[in-house]
Amino acid sequence: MEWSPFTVEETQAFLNRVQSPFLPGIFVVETTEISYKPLPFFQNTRHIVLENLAVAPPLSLEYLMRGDDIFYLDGSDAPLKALCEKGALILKAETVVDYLEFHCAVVVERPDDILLFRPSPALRRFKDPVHYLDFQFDQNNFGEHDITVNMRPDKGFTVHAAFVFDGKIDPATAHISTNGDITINRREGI
Amino acid sequence: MIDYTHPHAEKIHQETLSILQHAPSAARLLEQAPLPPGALRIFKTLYPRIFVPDEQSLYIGLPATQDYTDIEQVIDLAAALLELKAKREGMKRPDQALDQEESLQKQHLINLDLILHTFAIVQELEDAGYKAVDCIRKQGLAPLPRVVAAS
Repeated sequence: MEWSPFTVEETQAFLNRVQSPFLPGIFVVETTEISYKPLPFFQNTRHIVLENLAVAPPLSLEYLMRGDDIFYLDGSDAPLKALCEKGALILKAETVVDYLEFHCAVVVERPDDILLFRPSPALRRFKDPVHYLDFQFDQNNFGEHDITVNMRPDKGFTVHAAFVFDGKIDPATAHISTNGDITINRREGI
Repeated sequence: MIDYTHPHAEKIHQETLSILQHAPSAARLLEQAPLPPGALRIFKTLYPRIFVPDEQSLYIGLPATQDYTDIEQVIDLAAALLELKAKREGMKRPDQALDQEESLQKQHLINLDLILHTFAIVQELEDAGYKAVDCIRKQGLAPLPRVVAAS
């Protein structure tokens, strides 16, 4: 899915919704660009990125928007839980890996950040995209085909894949419940 | 209205300032230009960031899940204090009306200058027993002084 820009009018309207007297100077229409894209795993939901270009690299704030509801992505799982409770989650074999990747990216598990190790969307267009783990010896390559998805009897999913645990890559099994909750069990030793 | 206040703002605020006092240059900065009450705001965001909107205030953004003070935030605060000082002395981030390439060039020169000045504080924190140099190394900034000197 491609990012689309907000018009100046849309930008102003969105800033009016999300601005806060706690942070003057951030929500300034003259220095702000906003873009959005739909998310395949949340019904009628846009992922919105607000960038203040007064500094470089830009200061980014991210949101989810569904109808009139706006959820600020603050690093906790609260905004995703709120959206799932509203019945927005579309959990199926075609969307579960995207959901898992997004969840890992926006729910920040300090101090051990966990990310799904996956080729970028641009690379995924190729037939057999591969991530090179070991640049020197060209070993331990992982690609999209190394991610396996299984549906559980309760309609939840199990995903086996490589994850990045605070910079170290290890295989792990992610359990995704129908309510959107995710637990990731690490298996050390690649 | 969205509440951007970090749930552990007070604790992180106090700890960050307290650790920074161990760097003599930073302590001098705070002494010469004390932060007015409410000037330092810690808000929730996906990724750690600093933002200095004007000559009076500075913001530190942190994930809501972080309930401890990391040396990274102490270094970020040092950089923000240096930017605040520079702004008070007349430094301005480039205008949006500028050509994008020219604007980015000016932005990066300002960032480079701030980073190089922050290194002195990083070394003082390291001397005080904090793993500040390692933090800079993980950010990939460690070779910067050598590269600048060589150029």
